[in-house]
Amino acid sequence: MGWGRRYRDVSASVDAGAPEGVGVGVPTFHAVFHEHFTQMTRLAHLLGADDAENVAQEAFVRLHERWDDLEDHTHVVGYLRATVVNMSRSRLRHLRVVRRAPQDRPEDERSAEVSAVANWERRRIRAVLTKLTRRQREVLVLRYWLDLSTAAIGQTLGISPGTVKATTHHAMENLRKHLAEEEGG
Amino acid sequence: MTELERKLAETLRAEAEKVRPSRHAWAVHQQRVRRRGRRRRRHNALVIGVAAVLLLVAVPFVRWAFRPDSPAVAQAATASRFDVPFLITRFQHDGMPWRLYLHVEQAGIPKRTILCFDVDPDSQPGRAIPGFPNCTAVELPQPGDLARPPYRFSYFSKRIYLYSPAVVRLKITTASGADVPTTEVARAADYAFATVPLNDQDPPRRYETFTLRGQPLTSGSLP
Repeated sequence: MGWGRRYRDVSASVDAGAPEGVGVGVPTFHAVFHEHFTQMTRLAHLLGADDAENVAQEAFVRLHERWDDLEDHTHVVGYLRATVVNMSRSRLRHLRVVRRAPQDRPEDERSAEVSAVANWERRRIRAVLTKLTRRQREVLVLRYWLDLSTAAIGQTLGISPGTVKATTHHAMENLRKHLAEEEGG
Repeated sequence: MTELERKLAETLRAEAEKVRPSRHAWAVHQQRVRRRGRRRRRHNALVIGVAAVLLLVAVPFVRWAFRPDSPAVAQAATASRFDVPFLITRFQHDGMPWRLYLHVEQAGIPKRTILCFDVDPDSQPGRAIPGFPNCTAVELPQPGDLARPPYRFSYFSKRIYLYSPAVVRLKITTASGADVPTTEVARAADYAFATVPLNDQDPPRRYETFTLRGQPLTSGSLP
C-alpha cells in the first residue's frame, strides 16, 4: 500500500488478545483503540470539550504516529489521557475566545428522554462543575470518574501529588459552597 | 467517601454515559491517519525543498564571506592582535638584552585610548622596572582622518610614530633631506606604529604618507 513504516495500515494488525495493561505482551494499536476510545471520548466530554469525539480521535492519531517509536507500550493509556487533557484545554481556550464567556453559555439542549432521566441534583452538580477552575474540574473528573490515584492524576496533569491533594480539597470546598449558594439563592 | 463525593461520582458517570462514540470511529481514525500521512509527506517535501534552496544560496555566500582576503577575516586577524603587546625593539642595558613593547588599552567614558610602553629583561619577563609602564592617553586617528600628523615617542634609540591605518607607507626625511628607514612594528584596525632610528645630529623633520597604490595622502612637519 506504500504507507511506509510509520503509516502502515494498522487494520492489518488486528489482534483480539493482549489488551493494555494485562501484562501478556505488547498490545496492538487496534486493541488499545477499541478498549479506550469510548473512555477517552467521555473524558474529553467531562472536561468540557464540545467536540469530544474529535479530541479523542486526534489523541489516537498522535499516539499512532508515535507508536513505532515507543519502547514501552504499557504506558500508552497514560499518554492518551494526558493528550486528551491537553487537547481539551486547548479546545476550551479556543471556545473562550470564540464565545468570550464560556461559563455562561447555555447548556446544550438535551433530548426529552435524557431530560426526563436526569434528576435535579445531578443537574445542579453538573452546572456547578462548570463554575470550577479548569484544573479543579480536571482533578475531580480524573479522581471521581476514572478513579485514578493521586500519583496518576499528578502524572496526567503534570503536577505534584501534593498539588493534586490540595486542588481536590479546594475543588470539593468550592463544589460544596456553590451548591449551598444555589440552595440558598 | 462522603455523600457529596458519591453524588459527584454518580453525576460524572451519568454524564459520561450520555456520550456514545460513533460506531465508525475506527474507520474515521484510519482515514485521519492516511490524510495526516499525505499531509506530512507534502510538508516534508516542502521543508526539504526550502532547505535545499537555502543551502544552495548559503554555501557560496559563506565561501565568499570567509575567503582569505575578505575584509571580515582581515579585520578579525588584526583585531586579535589588539590585546597582545607589540614588540617595538630590543636593546642592550647592563650587559643584558631587553625588550621594549607597547600595550594599547581603551578605557573610560568616553572611551580613551592609552598607550603604555613597558620594558623588561629578556631573561625576566614581567619584571617591574621603575618608571614603567609609561602610559600616555592619545587620540587615535579617526577612520578617514588621514591628515593627522604622526604622534612621536622616543625610547631607547628609537623614535616611534603613531599614524592612521589608512597609511600603508610612511616616508620620513631629515632636515638634510636624507631618507630615514622606517619599520612598521604594529598594525591594528584603528592604528599603526613604525619605528625609526634616533639620530640627534640629523633628526627627522618631515613626513609623507602613501596609500596602497603609492598615491600620496598627507605630508608635513614632524612634531
